[in-house]
Amino acid sequence: MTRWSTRTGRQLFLAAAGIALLLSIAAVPEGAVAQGLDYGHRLGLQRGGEVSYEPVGSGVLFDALDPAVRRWYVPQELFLLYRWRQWEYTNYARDHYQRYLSPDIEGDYFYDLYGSFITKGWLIYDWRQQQPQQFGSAIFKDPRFGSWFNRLVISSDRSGQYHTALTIGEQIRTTLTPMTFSKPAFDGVQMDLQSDKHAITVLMSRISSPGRASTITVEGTNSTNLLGFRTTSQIGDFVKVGATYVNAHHSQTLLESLEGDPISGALTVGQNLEPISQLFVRLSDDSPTDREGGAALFSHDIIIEAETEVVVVTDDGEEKVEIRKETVRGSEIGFSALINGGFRRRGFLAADGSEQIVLTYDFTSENRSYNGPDLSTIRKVTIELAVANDYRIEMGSDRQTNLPERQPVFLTQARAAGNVKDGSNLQLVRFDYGLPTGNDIFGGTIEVNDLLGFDLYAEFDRSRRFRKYPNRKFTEHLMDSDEASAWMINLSRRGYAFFLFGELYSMDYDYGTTGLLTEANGDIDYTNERRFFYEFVEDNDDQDRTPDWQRINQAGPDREIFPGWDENNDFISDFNQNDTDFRPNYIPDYEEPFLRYSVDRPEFLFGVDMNNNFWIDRFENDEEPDFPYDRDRRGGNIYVGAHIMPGMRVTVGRKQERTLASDREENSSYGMFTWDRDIAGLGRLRVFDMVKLVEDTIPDDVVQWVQPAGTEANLQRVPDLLAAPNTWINSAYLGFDYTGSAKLKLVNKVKYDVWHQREEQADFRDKYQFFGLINKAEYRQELGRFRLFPKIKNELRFETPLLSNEPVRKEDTLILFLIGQTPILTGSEVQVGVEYTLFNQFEEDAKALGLQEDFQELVLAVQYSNTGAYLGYALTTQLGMRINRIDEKGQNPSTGISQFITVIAGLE
Amino acid sequence: MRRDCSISRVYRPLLVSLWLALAAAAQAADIRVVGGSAGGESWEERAAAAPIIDFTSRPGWILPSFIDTTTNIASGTLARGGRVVSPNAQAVLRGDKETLAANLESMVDGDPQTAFEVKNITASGILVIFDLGARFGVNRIRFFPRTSFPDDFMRGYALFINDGIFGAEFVAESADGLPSKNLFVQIDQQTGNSQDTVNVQFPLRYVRYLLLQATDRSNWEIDEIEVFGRGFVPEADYLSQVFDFNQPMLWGQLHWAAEAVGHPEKSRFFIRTRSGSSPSPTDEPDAWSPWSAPYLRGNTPILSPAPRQYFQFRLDFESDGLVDGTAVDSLAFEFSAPVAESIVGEIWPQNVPVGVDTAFTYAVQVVGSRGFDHLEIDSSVPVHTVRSLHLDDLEGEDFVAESHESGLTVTFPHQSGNHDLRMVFDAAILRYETVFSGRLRDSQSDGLPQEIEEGDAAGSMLGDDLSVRVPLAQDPVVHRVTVTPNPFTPNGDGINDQTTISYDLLHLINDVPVSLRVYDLAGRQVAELPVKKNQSGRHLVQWSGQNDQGRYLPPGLYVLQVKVVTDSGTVSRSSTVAVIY
Repeated sequence: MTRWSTRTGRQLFLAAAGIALLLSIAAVPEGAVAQGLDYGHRLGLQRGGEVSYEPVGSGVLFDALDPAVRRWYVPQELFLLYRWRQWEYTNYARDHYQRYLSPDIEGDYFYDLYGSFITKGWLIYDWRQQQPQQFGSAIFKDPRFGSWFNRLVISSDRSGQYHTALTIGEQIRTTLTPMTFSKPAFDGVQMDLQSDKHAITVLMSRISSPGRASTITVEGTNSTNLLGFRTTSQIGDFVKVGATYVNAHHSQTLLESLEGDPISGALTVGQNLEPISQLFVRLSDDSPTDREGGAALFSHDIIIEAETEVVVVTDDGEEKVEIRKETVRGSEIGFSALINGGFRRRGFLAADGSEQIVLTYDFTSENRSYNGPDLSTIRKVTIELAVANDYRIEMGSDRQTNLPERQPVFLTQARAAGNVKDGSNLQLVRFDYGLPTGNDIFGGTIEVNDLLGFDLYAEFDRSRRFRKYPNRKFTEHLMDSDEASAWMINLSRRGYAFFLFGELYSMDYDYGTTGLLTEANGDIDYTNERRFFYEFVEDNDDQDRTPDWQRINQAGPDREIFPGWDENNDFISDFNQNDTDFRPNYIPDYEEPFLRYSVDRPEFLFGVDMNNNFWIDRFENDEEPDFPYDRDRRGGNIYVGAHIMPGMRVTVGRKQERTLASDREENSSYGMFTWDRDIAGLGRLRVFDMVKLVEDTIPDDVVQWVQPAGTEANLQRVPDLLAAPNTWINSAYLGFDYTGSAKLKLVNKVKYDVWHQREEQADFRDKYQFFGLINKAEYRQELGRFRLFPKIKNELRFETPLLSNEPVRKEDTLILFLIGQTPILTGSEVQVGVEYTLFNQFEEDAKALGLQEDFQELVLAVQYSNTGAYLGYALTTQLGMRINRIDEKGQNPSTGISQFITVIAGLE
Repeated sequence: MRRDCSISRVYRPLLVSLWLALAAAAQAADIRVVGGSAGGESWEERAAAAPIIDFTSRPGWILPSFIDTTTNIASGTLARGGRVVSPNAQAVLRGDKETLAANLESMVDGDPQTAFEVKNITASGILVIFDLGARFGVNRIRFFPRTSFPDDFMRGYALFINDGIFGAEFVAESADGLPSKNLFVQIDQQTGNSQDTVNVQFPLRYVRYLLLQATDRSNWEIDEIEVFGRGFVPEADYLSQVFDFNQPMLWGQLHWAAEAVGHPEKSRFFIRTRSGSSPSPTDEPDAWSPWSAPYLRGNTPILSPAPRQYFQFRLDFESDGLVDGTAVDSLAFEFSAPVAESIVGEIWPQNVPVGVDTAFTYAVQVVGSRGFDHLEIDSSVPVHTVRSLHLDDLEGEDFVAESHESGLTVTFPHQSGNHDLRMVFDAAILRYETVFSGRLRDSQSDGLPQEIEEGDAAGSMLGDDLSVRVPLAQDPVVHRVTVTPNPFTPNGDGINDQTTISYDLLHLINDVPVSLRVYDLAGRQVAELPVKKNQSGRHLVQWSGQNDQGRYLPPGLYVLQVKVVTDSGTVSRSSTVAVIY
């Protein structure tokens, strides 16, 4: 409402101002009009019947060629508009005063860089970077960008098969490929070109500060810019190839235009301000839980390269400045690291389990007596380590810190492949130290569609992280990078009655799609992911417009993530449908009186759990980018199947997967039977079964939307128990919904899960079992205007938990419902309901085991409801009360009451 | 649930008398014993810090605290180093920080007269974080107001827990700021609580942090919060006091006796030692060594540097199960006066080609010795030849060098005072950073040998340490395979009836499986020679030309393959061998 009013008001104002301007021009005395046909440049010059605003510059004014001492005032704006001269007496008795009008009511005059007049209007969006200068990166988004255009402008064109569009927005749904760039709300500029066979997309954004609609230009000397590119070309009838490139790099406008590197980026002013005085290398155990075979450090050294300017006298006697390069080893000049931590073993230092070895190279400490090249001349520092076993190496420095404490932050440099413990991977590793300046990803794709019935999608990407050693004396810094790869191949063939699907995939542990952002002053907090991390691929498991995690310049974090649990797409979990922001509901619907008839508990659902973490895959939420496959994994999966008859199919498959940086793997063989059949006049039958033989030691932790009864639903971390080290798993489901009668509905479902451990496990029972049976019946009877709904629901649950310290559950819940409903007048009705619950735990002393005790619950509810139109809204008014009495074993019965008057204004 | 008190032994219990007997028998060193039921020093009196160690349930023993269902875990929060904080109460209560801290701590002080009071406020949402100071198995949490204020109970609250592992560092940091609830698991929430005593029960789980959030603005207070559970704490540490020996000492062996309670594989403990030259490791950390690696088995030499005047040890207990723990009866360590005030050594050259016999100079500088006559050098490679031994630049002739599997022992006339020793020997280096550690021993004394410390023992040598390196190029783990004699003639004439297969394994620090197979030129395996697991070094295997069935192979050319299975992959190297008759 407010926005509409403002806009309307502004439009009215503009219109009024325009009319006033015309009137004022019309009110100019006739003689003046005759004399002043030329309004200067303000209203343009007439050329060939067209008004032109091209720049002409000032000339020689004939009337000013009067050799008088008296100052000659140029007849400019006020004379042209109002015939007002600064020295002339004004009298408004006859000709009334005319108020000032806004001269920019139609906006400003804009010229392109060639001096050609563009238009008269308003600057909506302007992003420019000028260097060398302070605050050279500037983005301006006029408030009209938000108010008029709602933060989105599109410039487009087409001709024949060629289409192009330039989209500037703050929430653009953009995907290049699933492993390189995919965001539900990209803030930046997207340029697209598409023809019948080719497509090109270019993405650009100043991601460190993309700006907001405001009258203020957001300027900065340091910024982080993003450039993305993807092109695809159709080759022949079946094949499409593509190439992708995404880059994020720091940019600094103090540099000359040809300095710096648009690929690897430049050190920000903050990064380059002071020399590094302390360098840290941390070695630890990459698989700390096994407490052995961690990093083994045999030797270490530091290599320092410096450049100094030396004045030399040539043979001709001229002085000449030469660049002299110098390389020294720490071991040669007696500069060694201070070592903290590690277990002394024969010939090496070990960091097993939680132990860490920290090497500190202190260039300024008096005790360590650094006597190498002056810090201001150092161009490159290389750390050389002889390491073996299952190591993780991280590096940090006193310039790589958090904010504002300025504590050093370690960034991972390398991890050993596998989990080597015998020293057989002993090697000399070298790293050039530097501060992160940018990262990029380049890759290619190939798609094959319906070639001999096969579909194929393959993608290969390689990510690079750039870093440079800071030294303010130099504008060009030496670069080093870490590289990592990711690839995937999907092949499928569908044809009745057989189908095939195969997937191969690999993603290095350090494959990176996260860029670091800089503050405008060049500071970076290397730990603050909310402010300083930018994700090329978002974590958005629930596939809504809000990424799950919080990053700067975007909405989030998403506090309500329940992927797969919102099948009606109303952004509310289907298990708590009556939860609203203003009237939160803490009771899941399967626990809530009356609602619990329709809603069953999630554990009674059937689904595929390919990673064996007890969670159905489509419901899983994690805190990783939404890659098709997880990082640090390599593996494959293939299945074949056949349609036995319509709605019935059998699938068998095999999956193998391993982690790349540790020694974990999964091998599983599986078979699945699915049958889903609608039987006319009778109902729907569903039979599912999946059996697996699994050896899985790869943890797949998740963060799940959990709502215990009586508590606010929230996200909780659920670690993978690694419940299938060598295990038979079977999940069976049988469901039948009877719909043969208009009045009677029956719903029956039974689920049986069993995890049988083939070897004894310390904390697990040999057999995890879940047996759940739900039977529901609902009948509808109309007696004149009175409608009666008797219902019955029974939920039987036998569960033997996996963890041996958790109690066995044997529970039965019988619920009887009776709801009566009668209309009153035309838009009102009265509903009366009663619900009786009988819960039986089948356990003598359930409380002692931490289980719910037996109880009975009676709920009575009365509700009057009226629906009518009011001021254009469909107003629903409800008033009523609910009384519930619960009688739990061992407790005094308690009675609660809830009374309410509620008005809801609906739109339909 | 029934507590399983079955005891299974994992270490052979040694009593104090046995320690003393051992020491007396060896007549090598003094021995110091902590714990045990036969006169060792008291665990409790010798403790510098042991907040959740049980000294009482088994006299003379220590074990991690076992919590029974009646023990209020919260009452020991402050004593264990835990704390009670509120990141946002001060702004609501408008009090000073010190008063708030005292009020918060009154919830765990056991005093029925004190309480944390939140009354007459205008905003709900006060958060209180309890750090129990350690992880415990918890299944019940209770809190209530003072009996004199029965109506001032919490009418609305939300209760969360964290197990002290999952994001624990963030929880610990966020205790002074607003914590992320994602790090906690919510276990209860009530918006219309009518019970003055809130009693929250849940399945037993490990808990270290509690987060209690008030969601109602009505007056409330908490007199005490009580936390109940059961089982062994999953982690517990015992830190000994610093032992002062009044003069620098050498360390001998470390012994201990312990028993597992419950499942032996579900609990463990680690002993670490350190030594120093100042009385306080916290005030002068540079004067102390780092903690040693954990000692995996008893009767093992103490790894901390010597001679040092001060000594300290710690025991870290870990348990994976609530009913599983480890009890330690006693711990003993040997010590004796040093051989010399200082013994410094170095070796040269320090960079040599791999697998090539090289002459090394081993220099030792002895200052203030009371006497020694043995030099023992540890080596993972065989020392073939001792070329010379110089004492103070005079070449010694009456020394005896004895090479053995783990190194070399050199015996010479008894010496005392200040001396420079230089020994030249030959060895082939097969591992990067091969260390020639050594020690001096006085056979005329009962004392322990003294380790040689790395340092500048000879001005003319540049290394200043006892390590030798080989190039770390892309050498395979199997470096060299030779067959001598080749060809050989297994015809029983006593001449070249056997051949010796020699192979070098490089850089390995553990034993790895090795197979040695013989193939004919058609690629068929004809023999597999029995080989044990090998480490780095030069290994020799005799072969008499027989196949797996004990029959002599026909004359011909055969391929010999050495295959090593390492954690990084399988590596093999082949050679040919000719059999003739």
